[in-house]
Amino acid sequence: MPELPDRYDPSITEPAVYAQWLGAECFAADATRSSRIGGDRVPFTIVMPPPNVTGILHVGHGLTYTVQDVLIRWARMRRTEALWVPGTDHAGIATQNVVERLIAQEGKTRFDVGRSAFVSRTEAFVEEKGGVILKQLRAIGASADWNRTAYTLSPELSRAVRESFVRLYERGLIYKGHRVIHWCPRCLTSLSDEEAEFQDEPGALYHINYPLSGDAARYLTIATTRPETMLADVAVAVNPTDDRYRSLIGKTVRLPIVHIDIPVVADEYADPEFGTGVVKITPAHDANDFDVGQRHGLPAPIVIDEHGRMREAHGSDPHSARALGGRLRLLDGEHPRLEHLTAALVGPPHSGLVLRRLRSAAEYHSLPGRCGPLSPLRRAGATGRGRARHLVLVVALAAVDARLA
Amino acid sequence: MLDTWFSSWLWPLSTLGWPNEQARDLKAFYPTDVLVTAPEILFFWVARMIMAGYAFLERAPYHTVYLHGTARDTQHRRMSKSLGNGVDPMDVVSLYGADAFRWTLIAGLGIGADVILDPADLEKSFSPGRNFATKLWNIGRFLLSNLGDAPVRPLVDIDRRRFALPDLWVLERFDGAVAECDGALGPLQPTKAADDADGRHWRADERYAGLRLNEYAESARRFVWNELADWYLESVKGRLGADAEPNDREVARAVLLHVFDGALRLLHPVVPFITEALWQKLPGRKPGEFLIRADWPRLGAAPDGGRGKEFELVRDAVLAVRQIRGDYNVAPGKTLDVIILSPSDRRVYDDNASTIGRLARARVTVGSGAAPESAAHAVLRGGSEVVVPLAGLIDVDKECQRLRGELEALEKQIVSREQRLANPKYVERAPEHVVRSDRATLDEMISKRGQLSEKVRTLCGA
Repeated sequence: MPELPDRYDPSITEPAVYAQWLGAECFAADATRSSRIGGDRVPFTIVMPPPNVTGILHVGHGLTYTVQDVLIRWARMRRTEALWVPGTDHAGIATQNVVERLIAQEGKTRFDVGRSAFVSRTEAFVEEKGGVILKQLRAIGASADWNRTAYTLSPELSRAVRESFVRLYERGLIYKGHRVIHWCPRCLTSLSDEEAEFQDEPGALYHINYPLSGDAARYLTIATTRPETMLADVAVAVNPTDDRYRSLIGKTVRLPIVHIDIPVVADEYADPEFGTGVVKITPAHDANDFDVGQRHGLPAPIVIDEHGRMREAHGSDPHSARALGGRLRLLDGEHPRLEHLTAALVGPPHSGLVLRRLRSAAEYHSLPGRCGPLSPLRRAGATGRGRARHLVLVVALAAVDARLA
Repeated sequence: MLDTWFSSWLWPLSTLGWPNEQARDLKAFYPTDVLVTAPEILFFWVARMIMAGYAFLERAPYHTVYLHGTARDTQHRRMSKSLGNGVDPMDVVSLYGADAFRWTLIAGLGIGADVILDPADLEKSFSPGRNFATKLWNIGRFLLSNLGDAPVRPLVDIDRRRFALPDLWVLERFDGAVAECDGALGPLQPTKAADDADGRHWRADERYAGLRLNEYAESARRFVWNELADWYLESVKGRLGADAEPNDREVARAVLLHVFDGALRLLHPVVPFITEALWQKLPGRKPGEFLIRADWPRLGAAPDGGRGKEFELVRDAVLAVRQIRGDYNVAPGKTLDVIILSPSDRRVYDDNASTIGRLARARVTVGSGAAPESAAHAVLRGGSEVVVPLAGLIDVDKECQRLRGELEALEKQIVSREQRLANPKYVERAPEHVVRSDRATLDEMISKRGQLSEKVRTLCGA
């Protein structure tokens, strides 16, 4: 008579039972038995939401994977050809960051190591550490078909990605164009909306006078939190219903420091209630400005390079950024962004520029580039303005914009 | 630069072989069936996968999306590393076992709701799961030691006329559990009226009301613990030994094995390890047979007619005796004399007197006629009565004194309340709900007075 020990000991039973299941291939689904291709059993399939390859099982995983295992075991007993496809996600930037930190401990950056060596290092890391989570899933009884374990960066799945991209491109659903994106000056890579972290930071609202072309006695005062990008302005905008500026629509103003004429355009984006009601338009450096630029057919010069350094735009004097920085520093030497600018400072300030700094009543949103672990999008809060000026330094897609040479 | 969703939106397609549209897995398994995930990535991922399915294969990748809640602490905060309020599944597995971990999550998972766990007290959160596993194990041990080695006949081979009342009852309860579990789980394919896999039919109102996993788990647990273990095992004990009547023994063994085997099948998806381990040890199982591959139970274990329900009379009688024992503080080991007076159900009590006796630790006489003096009474369904003479068991005088005192105090309360309610001014002025509640309480008191005075009369004579 088979005897059962007095006390149940899961630590002995569980590994033994799991080994039996594996040995007898109880989790393996046989495609030939699927009734869809002439077999005798109706298929029942669950695809496992792939956890990060470097992830560790937490209780949220435990919950979702237990639910799936309950369903797949039930389906199996209901005489379906049951398949639970497991796999992991390479997790893009999260994994890259971990490997970069390891390399940093050796005193190097990924550029020192070089691209192909970096890729190998990442693969080795994934090989060694990756898949721990899949073992943990086994420990909680997951009856997934491990023979079919998938990986988002496998050659097969990478091919699927390329294929889908090409097919959508051929159907006109993907096209080349300019778009304002999130850019990390440290990693030198763009970030998706979902990967960029947003934070509120106190900022300042700068009022700068742009004199009317040919009549320096009159000027428009623009209000901006991004004075450094003024060197790439292509227009200023006012709201079409704003009586204060209606007569100036269609005229031009003289962009200080750079000394070029830019048009005054009417666009609803300018909010008469905010700042002075006049906003400078810099399409390459702000998503909202980009839209305004599209609407009015404006160019999009770039004045901040991919490393976050000021660069020449509008064919302007290369000292102009420094001049601007100097002038801003005069008024607010403690602003963190100005420290960044003053590093490139040299040369005498230009004239014709009047700056007044106004501390806004509400917290304003501005943020330098940050790329961290994938985190949920935290939109800059609702304080103050309706439009969230939340974007980082932006550079048009490198692959499609030959200007970034 | 492609974001992570650009690869993961293809997951149901690419893992099955797309873009090779001739891939065997793709043909065999696409579209898939259920996607299980948290609601936060509904648009990022779930919707995009559906778009990919339509864009490249003209069919959505699944027919059902199951959105579950999250694990939260007792303050309902999400578990996170920064808050330090997490529960490490591997800790739970090493302390309580994977089955206890799984049981806790599933039993606590109302559809769309969160699971609440206490990270500061794992014992509180997970010990019910561990205790359930222990209970299953003990039932298994009892079964194995009492069933013996001899082969057990399949239930379907047993002549149904040979079923005793407890057999009928437990088989009906098993069918009930299977029906409840099936109803809570719902169909494999809600988009169809019948599951292709095994032809089970579903009513329209059932088809989209499934995947209630916590209810399914509770139905299975309740059967195996509250019905099979608490009642059937106890009642079947006398019929399994070497001295039992052989034909009846064969029936009892067949029924017991059938329902325990069936319970293990029902429970396997939630607590797979312990159920697999126990199932393989059941009489008749051969090496190479696995519970994970066994068939899900079907209805029809019990014969038609619903006669098993009569067992509830037996159960209620036992519960009544136990209640009396508790009320009067009689020691558990002391055998009581019990008289059952039953004008309408005499036969049932006659047939099952020894079972009642064993379960209640009593000597049971089924009679009619007058009840002895100094006894406790309980009224059962159908008008039957359980009478337990108490002389010699308790200090009757003392108890009578106490009861009379209680009765007196209750009388006083009743009088006062009646007076209040007879006062027209009060009834007019007081708010309606207060008056209503007063009347209800008065009714309860009057009914209690009736019971008390009956008790006093039977125990104390007058």
